[in-house]
Amino acid sequence: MRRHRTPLLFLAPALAMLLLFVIYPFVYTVCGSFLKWKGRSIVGVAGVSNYQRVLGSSDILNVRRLLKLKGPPLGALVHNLLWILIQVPLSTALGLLLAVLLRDVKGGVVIKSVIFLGMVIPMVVGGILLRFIYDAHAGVVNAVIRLIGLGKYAKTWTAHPDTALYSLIVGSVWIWTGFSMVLYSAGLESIPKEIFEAARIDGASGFRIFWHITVPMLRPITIVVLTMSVLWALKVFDIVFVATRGGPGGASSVLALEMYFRAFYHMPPDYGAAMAIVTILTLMTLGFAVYVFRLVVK
Amino acid sequence: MARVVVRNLTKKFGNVTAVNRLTLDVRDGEFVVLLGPSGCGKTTTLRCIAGLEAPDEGEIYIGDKLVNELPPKDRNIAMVFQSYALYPHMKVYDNIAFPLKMRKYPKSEIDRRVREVARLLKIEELLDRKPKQLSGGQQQRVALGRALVREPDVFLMDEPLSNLDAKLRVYMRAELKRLQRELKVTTIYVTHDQVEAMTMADRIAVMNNGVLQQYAEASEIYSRPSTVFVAGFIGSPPMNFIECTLVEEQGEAYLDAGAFRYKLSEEQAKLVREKASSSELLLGVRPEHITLHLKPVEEGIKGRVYVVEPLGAELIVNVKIGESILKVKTPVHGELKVDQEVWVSFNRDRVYIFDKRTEESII
Repeated sequence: MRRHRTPLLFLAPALAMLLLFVIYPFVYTVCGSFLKWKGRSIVGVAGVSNYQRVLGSSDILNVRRLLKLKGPPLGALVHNLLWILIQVPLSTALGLLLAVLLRDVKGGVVIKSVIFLGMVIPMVVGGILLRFIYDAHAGVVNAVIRLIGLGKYAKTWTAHPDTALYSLIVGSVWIWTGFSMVLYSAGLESIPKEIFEAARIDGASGFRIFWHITVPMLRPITIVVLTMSVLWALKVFDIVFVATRGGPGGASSVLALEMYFRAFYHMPPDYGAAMAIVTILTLMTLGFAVYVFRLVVK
Repeated sequence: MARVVVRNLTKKFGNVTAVNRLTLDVRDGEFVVLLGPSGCGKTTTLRCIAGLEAPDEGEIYIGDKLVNELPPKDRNIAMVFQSYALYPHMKVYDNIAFPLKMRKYPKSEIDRRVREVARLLKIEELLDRKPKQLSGGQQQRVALGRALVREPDVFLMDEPLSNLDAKLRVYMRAELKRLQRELKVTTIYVTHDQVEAMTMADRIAVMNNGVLQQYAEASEIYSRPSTVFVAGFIGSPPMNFIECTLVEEQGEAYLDAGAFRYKLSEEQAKLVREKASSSELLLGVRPEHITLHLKPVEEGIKGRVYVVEPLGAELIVNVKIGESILKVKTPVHGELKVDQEVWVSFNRDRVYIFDKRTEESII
């Protein structure tokens, strides 16, 4: 018994913090999501009615528009999934491509640093930048569109329901490409040069070396990149909050934003719904993390 | 199978000339070893032949084809790397099959050839494993298998045995040699290990500082080294070199080493007079061509035992003569004490004389 006491003593501060700031709020939130709230006070047991309200709300899941295969707003949950489906593959593939292309290029480091800037700036600044970039008059995007003679399509991309969400997603691709590129660059360095030389002698062309050697050997990096970007896409908040506030008309809203509105913005606050959203989000991220963890450990 | 001809090959990296006007002719089916210390340009030469480096000057022919502009995959060569360079994410089977897959061989043909090579190398039971699960020797065989499976014109091997432990190295040395004889594939093999070179090669190309020093059969490299470098690099322990000057007295020629004089025969004297660029010479004798005597003998040179290194059946006795130390390889000689007086005599037929300035062989 005594032998176990000393390590526990050292672990205690960290465990206390974990308990106080992670476990307790999480348990509190999960429990709270099954209770009936009035303002800040609990007035009874709600059962699953908070969940019914959340999942039944068109802000979270717009079944009608979904069934008609219409564009956003489709509900925050669907927006999050779209975010994952579009941003994660794009930023991962782009990062890999850039890492491979810039590996042996003179000045590649400078170009890589510039691309990585997207990752270095705070997300809030990134959100403001996106607003500027997509602005109808001052924005770079519209300047380019006018330059190539498509001036009639110029608009404030974040202000229209059918383009707001996709504009933000494309913007986040820019931010996350730097992340995957840097990780892939480091991964490439760790592959011995002889392996590529052996493949060249064995008759593999540039593309086949990439496909048969580079991609499989970077698999551990790919898992990290995918995990990190999926988790981020699930939790995304700041960019949307700063750039569009989920608008127009909820067309670019995401789960974390809906939670924020219900807890801190609506009057009176709807804690039950907010806690239900948090629980749904947590379950999704946790489920995904456990899945990846098992994949890696196996 | 093909002949490989390298003509005037020069390769520079910045200011450093790695290979300097190298000319080499490797016969069809021959086993040639490029031998030299690290940084002598042997690996660079091999990489130029493989097409992994582009020569700055000179031509490389494989068969009758000039290959300077051909990418590695079109030269029909196979290479075994020092690190083996196996693809870690592929099973042994797929590693060996890779060159055939890249050349779009039919599946049945790939399977037949992979299994044949695996049988030849005795790695049939390893085909389902990943490289990580293999020992160094097994990985080595897989690397060989990947090279063999394509039936290339030329094998290029870059120190393929240096990552193995000593015992396995000796074993694989013999295996490789047998395999090469059996398959009769032209092989160019790079090593810094003179024993490997001597035991395996049909011919050895000794290189130093990017320059080819001598290209000949092992026995000739040993018995007729063309430069001081070759003489000193081949043989263990290396040849003894003694600085001396040519002295003529009463019609006789001597090499004066300070502590002793070595009388030249008429024939030797004639050659020295003809070839030497000055009277500054180097006398070279291999430790195995010196006889150790415990009593004075005719033409014996007196010295003292400096240290004795026993090798089991033989001894290496370091004998101090004047200021220089000669290594003498001799059968076990009873008790030899440090500082004991001894006499040494040289085997006259096995004495080498080099020009000290040009470092080239005179006799």
